[in-house]
Amino acid sequence: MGSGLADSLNINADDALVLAQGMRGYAADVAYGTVAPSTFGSAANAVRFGFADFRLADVCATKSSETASANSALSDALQAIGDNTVKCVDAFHHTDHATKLQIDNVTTWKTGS
Amino acid sequence: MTAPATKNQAYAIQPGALSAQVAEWRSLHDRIVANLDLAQRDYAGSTSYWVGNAGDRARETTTTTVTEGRKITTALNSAVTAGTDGQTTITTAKNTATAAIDLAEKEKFTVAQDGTVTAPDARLSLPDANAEDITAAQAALDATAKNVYERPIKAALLSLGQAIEDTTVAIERAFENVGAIKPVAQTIEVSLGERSQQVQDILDGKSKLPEDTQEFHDLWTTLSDEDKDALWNQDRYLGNRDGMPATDRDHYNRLTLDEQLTAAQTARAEADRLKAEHPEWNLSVAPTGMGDAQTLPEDSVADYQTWLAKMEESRHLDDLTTTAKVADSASPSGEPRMLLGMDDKSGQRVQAIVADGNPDTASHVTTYVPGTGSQPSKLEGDMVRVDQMTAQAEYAGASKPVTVAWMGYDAPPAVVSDATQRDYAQAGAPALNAFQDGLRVTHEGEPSRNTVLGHSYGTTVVGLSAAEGRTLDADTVVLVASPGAGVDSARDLSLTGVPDGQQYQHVFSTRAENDPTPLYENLPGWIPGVDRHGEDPTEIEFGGQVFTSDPGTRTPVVEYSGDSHSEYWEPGSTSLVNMGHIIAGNPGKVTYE
Repeated sequence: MGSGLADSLNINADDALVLAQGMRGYAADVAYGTVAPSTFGSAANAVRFGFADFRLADVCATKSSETASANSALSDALQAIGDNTVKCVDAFHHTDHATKLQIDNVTTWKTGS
Repeated sequence: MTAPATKNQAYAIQPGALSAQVAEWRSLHDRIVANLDLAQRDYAGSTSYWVGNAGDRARETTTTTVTEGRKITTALNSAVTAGTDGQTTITTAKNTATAAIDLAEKEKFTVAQDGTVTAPDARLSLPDANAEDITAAQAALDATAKNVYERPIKAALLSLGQAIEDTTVAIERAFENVGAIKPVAQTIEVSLGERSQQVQDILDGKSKLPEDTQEFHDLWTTLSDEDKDALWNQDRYLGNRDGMPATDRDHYNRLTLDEQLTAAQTARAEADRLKAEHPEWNLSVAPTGMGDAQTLPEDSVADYQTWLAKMEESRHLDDLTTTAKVADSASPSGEPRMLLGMDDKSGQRVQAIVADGNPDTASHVTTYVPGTGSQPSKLEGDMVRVDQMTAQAEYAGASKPVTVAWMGYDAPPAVVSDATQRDYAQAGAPALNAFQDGLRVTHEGEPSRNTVLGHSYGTTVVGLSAAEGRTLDADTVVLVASPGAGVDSARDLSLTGVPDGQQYQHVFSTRAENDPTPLYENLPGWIPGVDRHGEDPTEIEFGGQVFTSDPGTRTPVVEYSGDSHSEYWEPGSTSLVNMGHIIAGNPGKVTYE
């Protein structure tokens, strides 16, 4: 038995929200490495042009695609940690609605808000 | 074996194309490294303002995530190296191959795609030579083609093909761990749901949870886990709300029980420690006997006051300990027990409700209400009765019976001084009534057949839960060894869906011949201060159906015995068999007085 929400003995709301905002920012920056407007993956096309008939271009394309997926998962994980930090602040301090809106408005790459 | 490059490929290959690929990987590498470094730094530095398991878990998760993320950067770094090195090697191989081909073709030799070199026709360069000389010259040119040009050209084309393949393999190997990084996000135990506005308003004090059982259920079933957690975080006793599904009641009540039990254990340990430090305390007359702290040595007064406070804080330790033990044990059927109620704040004692299965999915639900002296510290004995009733009901044909030990009220602690008072029953009756409403509201599928079965003083609680303006949602009421059913007639009981005058078909009672409890109804009026609890429901004027019980233990002189009051659930007893049939809905198989 145990509740994740009840596990904070103390959490400074201001510091933790800065922490969460930072993590969400890192998540966004990591994400932007492989999602639009990033052109990540397009370099494999140049390889295909320079090495026609060789599997090198296919390997570059496949591995870049796998890396993009892994990068997206990494970004999601960082985002989740940031969001969970907000939830813990929220749960510990029973934040009022105005504060909640402020928390929600912390920029996230997923919502674009 | 690696295929050699062809002549056309040797010219067409552009090693510089790898530069863009390398640059792309390097850029992502640098971006990820920078962000992971910052994430790790930030969370590692959060220990000063985020204390507790949640913070520890966030830091640990960050470390794990960063470690996993560095597998991506390691792969990218290796790929950059493979691409850069490969570009150099391929460039050299390409230059070697094309130079060899250029040299041969400059001398008018023909180079095929596979590097095979054909000498020029000797007649073209020796137009006036005789046949013998032309033959010799051609032989010399052919030998040159094979030995001077073809061999290095083919070797160069092979090297070029090998260089490209080696680079390809090196890049593949660089990324071989990237596939395993994908599940990172799935291992993070968190959901991104947000609270509903409705719940936020409740948390902010702008509105309240519905009091009505059905309305509460209707709201509850729309809430996300985050909403539910937030509400529980605000009200630790939320799990006692009637209308909440049994699985959620069990979940939240266990969380609260765990917290309260831990707190009580900690307080008791502190009290024990203080007691051990002061062997001079005469606690045999404590705690009230030691209340005169002024008689204590001055240097131990503060400790004594702390000891008293810690003993008070841990006063429910036995109740909580037994409740946890019972809730954590499986019923004989193998079904996990469910903690439907846990309240150590509202009453004088802990109030607990424990089921031997999930009532929301049961075919038959029996609510067992024990009487005088019942409290959670004695719950193990009551669970034996619960298990007996479930087994007997199943034997009688109930497909999936569940029985609930309902200790949702402060039962009178003692027979003489407390059980003679009607107050305990009047205080508990509304809660029992609401609990039955909740069972009906949260039940899934076809309605279950619900029985409320009281024993001893519990029968008074049961009777009053269906009287004084309340209607009890039960198909059947069973009153065992009653000192008075709270009312004087079965017709005074109000049961959901049962027309007035038809109650007798739904009300069953019994008493053992040697059980003195039903004689209680004769005491009020004779003894001052003894409340009347209503008619003995086994009397004919009450108007219910009276089923048989075994006589019970008989004492030599007075015949009546206290033991007989507790023998209704003995395995194989007439009363237990009859209870099984009543619960299962087989009144025709019950034996009556």
